[in-house]
Amino acid sequence: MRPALLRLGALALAVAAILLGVLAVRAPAAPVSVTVPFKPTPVADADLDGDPATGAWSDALVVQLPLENGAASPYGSVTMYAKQDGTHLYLRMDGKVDVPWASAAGNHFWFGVLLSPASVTGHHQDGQDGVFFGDSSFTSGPPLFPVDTNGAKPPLVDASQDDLGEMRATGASAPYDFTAEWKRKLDTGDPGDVAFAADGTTGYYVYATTDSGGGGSGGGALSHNAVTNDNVVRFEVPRPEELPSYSVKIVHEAPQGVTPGMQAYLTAVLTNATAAEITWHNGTMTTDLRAPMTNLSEPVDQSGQTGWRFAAYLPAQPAPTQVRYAINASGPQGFRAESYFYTVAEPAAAGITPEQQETWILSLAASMSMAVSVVAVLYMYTGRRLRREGR
Amino acid sequence: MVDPRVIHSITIEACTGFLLLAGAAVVVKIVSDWWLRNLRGRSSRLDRWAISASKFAEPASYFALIAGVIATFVSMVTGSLAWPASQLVASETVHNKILVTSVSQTLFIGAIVLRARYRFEVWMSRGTGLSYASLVLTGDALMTLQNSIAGHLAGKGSLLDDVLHTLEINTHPMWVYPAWASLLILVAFPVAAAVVGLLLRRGRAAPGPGGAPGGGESKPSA
Repeated sequence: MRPALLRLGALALAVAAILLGVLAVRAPAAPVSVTVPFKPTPVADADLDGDPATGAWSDALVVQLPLENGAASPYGSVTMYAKQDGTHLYLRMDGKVDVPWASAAGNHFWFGVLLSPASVTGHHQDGQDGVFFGDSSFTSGPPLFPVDTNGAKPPLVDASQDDLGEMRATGASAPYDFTAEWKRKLDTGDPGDVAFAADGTTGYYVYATTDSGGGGSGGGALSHNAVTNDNVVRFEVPRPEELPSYSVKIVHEAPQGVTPGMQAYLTAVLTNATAAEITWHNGTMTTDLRAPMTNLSEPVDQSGQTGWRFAAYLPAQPAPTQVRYAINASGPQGFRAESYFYTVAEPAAAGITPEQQETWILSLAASMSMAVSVVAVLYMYTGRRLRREGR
Repeated sequence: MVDPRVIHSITIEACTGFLLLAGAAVVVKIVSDWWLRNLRGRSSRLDRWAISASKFAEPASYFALIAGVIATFVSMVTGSLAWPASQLVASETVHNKILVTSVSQTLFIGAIVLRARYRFEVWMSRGTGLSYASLVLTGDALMTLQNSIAGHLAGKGSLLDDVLHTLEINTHPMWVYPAWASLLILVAFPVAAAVVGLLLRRGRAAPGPGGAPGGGESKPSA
């Protein structure tokens, strides 16, 4: 055989071996494409607690969702439960992780999901929406509530927190189990969130991942960003006729930007109701407390009917938490209860503080000074050396 | 209209390609010069290759270096247009990329200045050739790191992730020195450079060993 052919054959073999090695090292799980079904039965707020044993999930879509950490089984995927009732999207993710969530300073991990409109693929893109559980950049300790973020890198906390739920991790040794459960409105009304159209056709990308060894986590070996799985979800067209009808109507928007120490003022427009009260509890209370709603005697037109504005104060919370509450309205024609929530959190830090910025500018100047000094020394050395050699 | 991110990707490819070519050409130049200095005559075919490679690698590296530095400046502009300013200002990872890019760009510009001032002669002494090569190759190493950071920014990860993870290099938190260390470096390095410059100047004024310049430096054979 000619030497050139031998060389070509050897080269082809080497390339094939490298390709085979690369492919064998990490076989990516296949992304999924699913339609989230319309189900009139909601998951109760109280059951969005990170406990997989509670909650009306039996009618939800169940699918294995590959994670962006690219890890081998059992860490590389979660079991996703999903359903929607035309207003809210309910999600539950059951997965495994290599460390427990012990403390923000000790072993801990985070679980995060990025949601994209159809035109945006990849991670940390403009226009993406995110939710993160257990990231110590956002959460100092249990209970591990969802943190609504945008798609920046690292994600920035949304001023409007629109996710209700919790994540819990259990187990005595690796692999530890975790369950994250939460709900959000299909269209939260927040321009920082992705609004989902439940039309059965519009697709949205979902990227989920865990991390136990990087920013916001610690103690494990999972790195969150190894692969990109363009998972697609669509939302089945709702069938409103299957939803229960009520004569009493409640129109209410949960408050935003509530900080520790701040009383929350709630208003609602109630139609066909003569009395109302709020039952509420925060993240650590085990029983509900009640607060009366006052009729402000302000009529509000509600599609031809007259509604009346009611208001109530909920007490200030001493520390960051999620307050879950229900408005219970009653009138001569019946009774209705609607549940809501709001997040009590310290004001989100707007990226980098001025002090950090100053420290960075000093570091940049120092690095440049170092580089310029090295170049100057080499310049002088080169001149001296070449002159010594008479060049 | 073309997505600014596409244009940014093109300029990134251009500057990375040119600067890697500069680094590769410098390596070829070093290897071929080493062969000619130490192993010349062992294989006439390899001698011919070394002579040819040495002849072409040097101008190729210089051209690629200039083109790469220009393309990097262009990519800085396209990058600032491709991402919302609010995200750039708020992201710690972007700050890391700016810091690493600034240092690597300084080293590349330093290499260009060195090459422009001393021309091909920079390769005529082993020490000066290695100085020049160290600037280009250190710049390439930093550029590789900055491209890995860029991969994270683009949300696509990086082939170096496993390596960075092993080395416990986390590209997410902002890389800063303590303020006192920054101030110390800001003062100490220029002062040290000035002292070295003075020592070199004094060495030039004094006669070399035996009254002759050169100090035993071996001369290139090519």
